[in-house]
Amino acid sequence: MKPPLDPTPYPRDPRSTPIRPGLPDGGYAYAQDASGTIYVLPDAPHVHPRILGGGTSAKYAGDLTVRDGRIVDVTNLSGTFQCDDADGLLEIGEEIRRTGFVVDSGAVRFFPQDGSRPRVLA
Amino acid sequence: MTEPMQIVILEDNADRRRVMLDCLRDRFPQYEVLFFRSASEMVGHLQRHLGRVLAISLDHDLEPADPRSPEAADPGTGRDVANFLATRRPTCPVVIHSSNTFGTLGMKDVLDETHWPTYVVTPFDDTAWIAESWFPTVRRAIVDSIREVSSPASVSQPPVESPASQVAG
Repeated sequence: MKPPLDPTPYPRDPRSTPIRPGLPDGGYAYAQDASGTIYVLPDAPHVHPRILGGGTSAKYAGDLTVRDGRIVDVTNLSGTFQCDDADGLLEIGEEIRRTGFVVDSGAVRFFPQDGSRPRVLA
Repeated sequence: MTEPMQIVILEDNADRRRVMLDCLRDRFPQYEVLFFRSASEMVGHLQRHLGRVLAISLDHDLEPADPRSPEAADPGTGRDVANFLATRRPTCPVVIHSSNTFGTLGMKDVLDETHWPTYVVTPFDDTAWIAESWFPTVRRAIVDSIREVSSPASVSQPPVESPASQVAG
């Protein structure tokens, strides 16, 4: 579990919802809670600590884009949680698929925390 | 130790720079963010470090650091940087953020002709456009570019022609 770098116990945003097919197109930030559920919130600056709220740690976090009802990218981009585990991101992609969402080939994109070149994982 | 990649921005307005940096640190904390106030300084940097650049964002119109001083150096414009980039093979996306319509079109044309991936953002409402429009565009440009130009080989190819001959103009 990764604690948020900003420990402020922001309230959970009421729009935070488990990811599911049918989400409107757009950008989302996501955070995975201790039970493995992936919650999403429409993307905006400094939104990650408000997905789970209360200064809660996350198993994984990043952002993603829904276009035409499909996941066209899913990343580990989050300044709040800074997850640096490529296998963890692959598992996020699989978990999203298990919800019934279509995740495009090439959509899983990893940004190493050492600042090296990002890469497509799957 | 890997040197972090860079996000390089031509922007002379302090308020804009502050909001841009805030947005980028929130989502891309692992990358260096470099701001330049003048085209010549930015071109000098890109001549040495273009292979480390993840994304570029260009304003067009720039004010001298001290506009009251008659000796203030001409900061140039974003077009000067676009002209330089046009002498190199495309290695990263370029976001154009300018209220100057003709300046934007000129930069986009010269970059499109040389196949640089370009994105255009039009400022509005003081700095509100940065979080609402510019940052999502930068994020999309970077994420989309991984597929387009992620090969290390693509950033180490020689320039199309001598950059020096294009920079001065």
